[in-house]
Amino acid sequence: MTATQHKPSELPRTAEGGPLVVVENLTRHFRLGHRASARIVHAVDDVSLTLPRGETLGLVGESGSGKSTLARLLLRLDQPTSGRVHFNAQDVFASSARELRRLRREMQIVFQDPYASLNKRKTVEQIVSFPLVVHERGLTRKQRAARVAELLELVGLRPEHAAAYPRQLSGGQCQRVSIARALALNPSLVVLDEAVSAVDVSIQAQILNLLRDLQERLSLTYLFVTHDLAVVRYMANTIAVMYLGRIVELAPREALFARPRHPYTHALLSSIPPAPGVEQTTEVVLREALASDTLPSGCRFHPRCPLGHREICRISDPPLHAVGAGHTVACHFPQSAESLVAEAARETT
Amino acid sequence: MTNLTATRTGVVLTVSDLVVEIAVPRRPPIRPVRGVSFEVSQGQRLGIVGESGSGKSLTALSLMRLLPPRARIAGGEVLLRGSDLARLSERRMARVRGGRLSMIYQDPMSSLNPLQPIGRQVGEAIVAHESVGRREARDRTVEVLRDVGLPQPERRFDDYPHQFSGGMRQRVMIAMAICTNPDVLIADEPTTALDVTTQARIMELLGRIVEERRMGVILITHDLGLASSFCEDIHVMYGGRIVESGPAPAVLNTPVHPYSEALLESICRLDRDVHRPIAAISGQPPLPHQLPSGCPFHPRCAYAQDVCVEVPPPPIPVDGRVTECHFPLEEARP
Repeated sequence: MTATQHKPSELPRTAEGGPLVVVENLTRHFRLGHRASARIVHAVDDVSLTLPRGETLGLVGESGSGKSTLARLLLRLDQPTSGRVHFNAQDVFASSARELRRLRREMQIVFQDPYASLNKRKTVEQIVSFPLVVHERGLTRKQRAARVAELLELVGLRPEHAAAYPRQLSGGQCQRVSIARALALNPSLVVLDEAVSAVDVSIQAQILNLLRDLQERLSLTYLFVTHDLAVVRYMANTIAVMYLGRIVELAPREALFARPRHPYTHALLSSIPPAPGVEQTTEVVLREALASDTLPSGCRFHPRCPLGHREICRISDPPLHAVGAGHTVACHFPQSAESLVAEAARETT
Repeated sequence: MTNLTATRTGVVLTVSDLVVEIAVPRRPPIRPVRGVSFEVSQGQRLGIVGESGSGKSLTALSLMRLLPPRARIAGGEVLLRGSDLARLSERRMARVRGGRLSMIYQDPMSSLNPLQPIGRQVGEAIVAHESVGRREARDRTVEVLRDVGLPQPERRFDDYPHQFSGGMRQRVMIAMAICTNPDVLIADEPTTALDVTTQARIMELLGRIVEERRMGVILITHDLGLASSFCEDIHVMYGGRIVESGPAPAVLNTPVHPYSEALLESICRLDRDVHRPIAAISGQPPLPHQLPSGCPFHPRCAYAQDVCVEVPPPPIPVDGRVTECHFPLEEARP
């Protein structure tokens, strides 16, 4: 097991004041294939995190990094291989069916595809009121309609949208409906899984502004899952970078963008096309991943790392260790982009 | 044959006043592309930037004559080295498509045949367009696969698409599109389905290939950042028209159309102050069957006047560009 700088077990677990979510050594392995030929996919591997109340934790990584699996585990949409998640000091995976029902009200999710995540045979009103039908059985039909109207207004839709079907709405409007549905039960945690990745460029800003505004008004806690670094910078207080099931760098927003230390974070940052009119400064180029079924030995990033030729990287798996206030990195040679580029050049010559 | 210097700088593709219509039962047809004109020269990199519903993808598909069943080219010309593709018979078009004009699609998984080894799929393009033997087709395929950066192409020739990563599949798609040395290559959101680190590598590869082979490229994208880092010229589409076109640096640094300006402002950028809200464009992009009167952007435009509601703005030259706006932003800027 990796010793992490971040020791969630020592944090206060009182319901009030403490973090809303504490993730401890969470692991999810998938077994692919049959018996002898089975291989294990380490989707999430020994991840520990905390989500402070009213803040946003950004989870970035490429496809296959395990960020969506981690998000699903937090909501108990999936069972972990090992590890724990505490929500409001309550063990999510040890909860009884009844406790879980209560927990579910508190945690909601918005998915990527605005059309696929809404039932196309239901009206907006039916979609948004469904959580109320399930969890607030005492409400009359009239009360539910009033609550739906309130929610639609909250997310910037007009009352007449209540009678519309998803196909009559644009992608951005559908995403607003998903957000309204997620907020119907006054949750404290909302997981946003690539929630703006499929909407149009001009709409993306509207939705991001809306989410920030809602967070402030309703003191929501967000887990913001995305592959887009510019978006996560705008949304998150703290950012965790994932690679092949591990958190490789975790830092407050300012530190991550001003002083990234993991070569993978450098590569992600330098692969964004620069803002129109801005020159690309340093470029960190990853080696191309060879399609491989097995987890690399040592540091799992070493086959793609510009510095991965070193002995220790192939042998030993680097633990997360502190490099600054609240800033941890899992790398044997954490450094700035400039020195990384210089060193990589030196090694290849 | 014209002389070499003329063809080097020469225009290879001229699209003029292209109109695409979609038939709707018992109603007038919808016009998602309403008079689009542009040129592509040899070796030129052109970006067509727009949101969903802007008509950018239908423009690309109509050049390839691959429009969906109810859609058709209802007007205009598509001249590829002098022959009008809009009026070519299907049989002759089949020879052009994938030959002198080819396209890379968004999703490399669904554009490759999962049941056929990749080498055969690439080789098929060569065999279909040139009279070459099996042996030569194979050699050429291996060579082009190597050129797109596929490691060990001889060994991987007989592998199936699922045995490759997303980035490698997109390399195979690129190989297929360039193996006949087309005059113009259309790349429709070629990296949208890929991870960011892979995206950068694929764009690099595309840049090198078109430079070496001196192909014209039309990059269709919603991503202004991507377009600005790859293209020399940019056309911004909105509501089925090109609303601003010009050299990439000019369009991106000092846009003259309010839509280009608003779009640039609304992008989440790494150099933006995170404590201030992003200047979002209000409203939704227009749907082709509910196009506003006058200027299609007027309901969302901060500078709209009465005339914008009534009169569609004609294309006018402004500051080295062409824009369709009654009040281009040139004077307003300090």
